Amino acid sequence: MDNYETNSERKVQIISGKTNQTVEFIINDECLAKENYECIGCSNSDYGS
Amino acid sequence: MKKFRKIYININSICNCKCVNCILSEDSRKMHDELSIDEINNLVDSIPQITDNQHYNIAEVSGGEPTLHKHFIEIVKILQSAKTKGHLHKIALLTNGLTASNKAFCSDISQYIDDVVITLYDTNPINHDWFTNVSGSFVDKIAAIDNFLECGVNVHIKLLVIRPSYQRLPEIAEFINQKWGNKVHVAINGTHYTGDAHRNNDVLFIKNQNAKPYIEKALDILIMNKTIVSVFFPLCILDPIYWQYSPRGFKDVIDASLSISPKYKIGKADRLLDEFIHRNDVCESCLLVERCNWPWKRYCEILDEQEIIEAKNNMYKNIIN
Repeated sequence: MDNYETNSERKVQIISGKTNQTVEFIINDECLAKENYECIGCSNSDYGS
Repeated sequence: MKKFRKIYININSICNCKCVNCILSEDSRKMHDELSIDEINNLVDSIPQITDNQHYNIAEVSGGEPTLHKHFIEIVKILQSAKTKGHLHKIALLTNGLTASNKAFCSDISQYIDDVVITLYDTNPINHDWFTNVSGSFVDKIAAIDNFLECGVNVHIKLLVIRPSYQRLPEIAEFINQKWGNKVHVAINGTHYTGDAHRNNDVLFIKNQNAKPYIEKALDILIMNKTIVSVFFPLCILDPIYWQYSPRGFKDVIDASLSISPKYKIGKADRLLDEFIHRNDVCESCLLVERCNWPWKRYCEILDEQEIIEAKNNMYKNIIN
């Protein structure tokens, strides 16, 4: 398969259609905003917003 | 490292807006359900019994419009007390911002909350107020964001991908950059077509693929300004350079979360999976399943799965070994 594991990180390499460059993406990583914002505002289960 | 867990606390159903895209129905808002102070005390007291110390508990207080609860200040004080005892670690408020446009009220509630989430539909006041059906709501919302920032509350601005304003996402991003610099966190979210949003989907629905260039342009503008962004959208639609801004998958968040509401009292939040997630083989078998935020249930009911099948196939073609 196209994804592989390194030190428990599950990565995928994919070509960006926008830059034509290879992007390496860690599937089981956290998003960049998480450290400061802990996904507040990002959940679509939010009611009544 | 502790994992975070959301505790959704839905304290009432009444609202002072009548948003065309509300995920609740007008009927459910009219029920005027609300949690009493006693119920909130009991439910909050039960949090430590049903959680563990491996999690970082974030309370998200919502409604309806939660600040309209007649005991709102007491409720956030109860939550603050739970935070002092270590049962909660952070308190976030989801509000439409109308009441917090009053500086004194905003200052009062800001003592008890850490974060606030406000949805901005558009930066053209007329367009914005068309969504809420409340004249002046745009001006109030902007004042509320200013007030919360002044009070030291973390502000999260939620932008929705929705037909009347999706093409204006880049302009909205420019507005945010100019008005607040990078002092706010911006989350671009797909829309749930439940409640009134489903009833009005003939005017609100937009295909994910059509929205893609506008979402990506808005992200470019915000990222260029070093604004912290998140995007809550199916990854196969977006170019991979934006995937790093996608939060963990909704299923993963929900699995660890609790829900407190007038109807359900307290329980695991996994019932939300049935409500929101479109369970389909296309996404279940995707290698990004744990990180992706999927097309929402009603989205696929309106459009069918074809768009997602094509997007996934195109994405897989670009994967290299």
